[in-house]
Amino acid sequence: MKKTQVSLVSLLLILVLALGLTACSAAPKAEVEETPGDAAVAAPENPVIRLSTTTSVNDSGLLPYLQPSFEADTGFTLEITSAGTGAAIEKGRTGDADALLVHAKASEEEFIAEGYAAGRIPFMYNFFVIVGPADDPAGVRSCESASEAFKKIAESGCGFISRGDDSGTHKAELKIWQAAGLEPSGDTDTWYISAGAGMGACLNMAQEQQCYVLTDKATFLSHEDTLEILLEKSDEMKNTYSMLVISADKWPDTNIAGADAFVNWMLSDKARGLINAYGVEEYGEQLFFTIDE
Amino acid sequence: MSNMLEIRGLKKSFGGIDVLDIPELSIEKGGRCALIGANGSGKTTLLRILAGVLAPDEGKVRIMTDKVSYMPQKPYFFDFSVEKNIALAVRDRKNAKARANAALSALGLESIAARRGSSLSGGEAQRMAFARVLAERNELILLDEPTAAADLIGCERMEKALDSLVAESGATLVFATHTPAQALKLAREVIVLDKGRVAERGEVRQLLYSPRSECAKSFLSHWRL
Amino acid sequence: MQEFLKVVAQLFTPGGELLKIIGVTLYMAFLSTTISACLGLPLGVLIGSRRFRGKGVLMRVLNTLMGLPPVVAGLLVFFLLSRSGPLGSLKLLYTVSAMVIAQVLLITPIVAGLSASIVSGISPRLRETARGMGLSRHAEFFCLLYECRGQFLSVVLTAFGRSIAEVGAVSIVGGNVQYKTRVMTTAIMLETNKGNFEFAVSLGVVLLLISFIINSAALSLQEHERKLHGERRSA
Repeated sequence: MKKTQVSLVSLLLILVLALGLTACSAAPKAEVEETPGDAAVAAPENPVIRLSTTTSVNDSGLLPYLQPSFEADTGFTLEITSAGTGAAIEKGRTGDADALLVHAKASEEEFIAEGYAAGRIPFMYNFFVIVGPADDPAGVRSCESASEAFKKIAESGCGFISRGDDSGTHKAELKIWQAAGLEPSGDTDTWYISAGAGMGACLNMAQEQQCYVLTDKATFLSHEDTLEILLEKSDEMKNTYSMLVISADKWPDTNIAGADAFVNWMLSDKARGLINAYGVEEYGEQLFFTIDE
Repeated sequence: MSNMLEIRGLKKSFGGIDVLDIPELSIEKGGRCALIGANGSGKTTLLRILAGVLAPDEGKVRIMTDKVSYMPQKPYFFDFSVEKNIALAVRDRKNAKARANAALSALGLESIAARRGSSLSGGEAQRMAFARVLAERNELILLDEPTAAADLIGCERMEKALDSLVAESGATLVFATHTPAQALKLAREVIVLDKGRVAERGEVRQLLYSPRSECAKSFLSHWRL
Repeated sequence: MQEFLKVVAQLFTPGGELLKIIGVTLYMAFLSTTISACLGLPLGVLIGSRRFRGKGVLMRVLNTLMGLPPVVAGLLVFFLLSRSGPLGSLKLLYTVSAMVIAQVLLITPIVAGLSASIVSGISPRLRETARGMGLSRHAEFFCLLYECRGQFLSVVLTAFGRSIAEVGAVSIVGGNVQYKTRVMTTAIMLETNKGNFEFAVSLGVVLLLISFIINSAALSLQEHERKLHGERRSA
């Protein structure tokens, strides 16, 4: 009795393992089969482009939207990893990426100064918005600028969720506090909640506690909650996205051909059209704006 | 003479195999009964049922006292001192410690009194368990191969102590043994078990020297007087 | 190396953020471990020492719960405590209490399962002897607990280790809020996300040191006891 039980269990385990292995090996093949028009483009030498981007970009859904067209047109495949801005840029330093897509000008310039990239290519922007509870206890709706709104939030003592993670969004938020002449801190101001988390998680928190948060519009619109946009389109809240190609001097293995192909495609008219159209049908407005030279 | 224990229609099986089948068995008060039989004949199971550790599948077991001592083949000792281990079993809480120590000295084991119960070797544990029985002074004493792990001296001491205890207190003794010589020393009657059944029962000398049943004969043929 | 020294310096800054983080971590871990032990040990002993119908099924359920992924536990508690959930009015989300709740959910099955196994192993022989000695049910139970105390300590240490190393559930229900619900593990996550890898590793080393100190303290207690009374022989 015991022997048959043991052999049955081992058989089951072997089956599960076998299934797992075949699933793994089957997956990449399936991807290639799905992209149409592959046969028309010659397969490049190194078809995989490692793109490191931030959680905000990923959470907005823009990249998965663009990815199929890019891969069909160029024959390259995008391997997208997302992390906080700091970690996303750090991947370029450690040679774990071929190209970066981030939105933190100061950090980018530091990166370039260190010689990890030749330059930055700003190509699109969107706006941060201040969102909060529908009843707006701090009266943000009536404000004309972001710094004014922040002052009101601080005065009212209503909660404010900060990214707290050195991300592009966080840096933009800090600039606005500076413009407002304030320096809130988690231990002295109980209404200031420094979450140290991604945009999605912070929106969850804002939803739960019904308080204010600075977010990029795209992520907010694709996030399910009952918060409302209370202030938008202030100059202080413009958020510029740039692409950077990792320098071959620092990392000779970098897929320059792939990274260049990515950059060129993103600047193409086709891509611009797609970017500008993203979200219009679903949300009734443009989420990203391309920078036209 | 009244009975100390009465068994009627006792049946027990493990995993489909019949281990005990005893339609009728009584042992009188003050009786001294040795259980002998091959391994697997049901001695341990019978003792466990009498001790109340195991429940029978069928049948009734009546024991006329609740003061029962049971010594299993592989006794377990708790992680505190041997003295405490023994004293714990004594009903008379006031004199428990004294009785424990007395029992230990009767067996010449005073030196181990302070040792941790869990640090005893197999042989030591058995003698400790025996000391426990001596200290308890119960009315029914059930022992499962009490001297199996003892050396000659230890064995002799234990047999002596048991003999005087039973003679003094008039307790009923039922013990399983592998050595017919021990039965001669300590028992007045012998019960031979074979595959869970009582093959023969009789006065100790008579049974051991002139067994009547086939199974007793073959079992004892390996024994030289 | 520079980063590690930075961390050490922060350790010795009174009122500093790192000390606050360590404080929250230890508070949460001790609370979680204590509650899980109080719930799990008796449950485990009860299950392990009795024979009853459905014991096998219950053991299997326990073993499955022992493998409950922390993020799942976190999600469950999140839904319970969220505004739109049944216990939302308690306003426990994003507090240390929520983190403790999630951890207790995770760790209690582990404590119960482990202690049930321990007790099952020892119980039959112990019961036989206890009955033979005429011990009351009460006395037998306490002897059982006493016998297993060393192993129970290991179980509690295991529970503590799980608690202090957990990151998924406490992120979800705690929110990693600075000065409030940030613990060592979520702080390491944050620093990693920021790209401060060296700093994150240094924090990790500190966490390991804390764990090491606590484990050593507990186990040296056992050693001390063993030395006093002699080695245990596995009979």
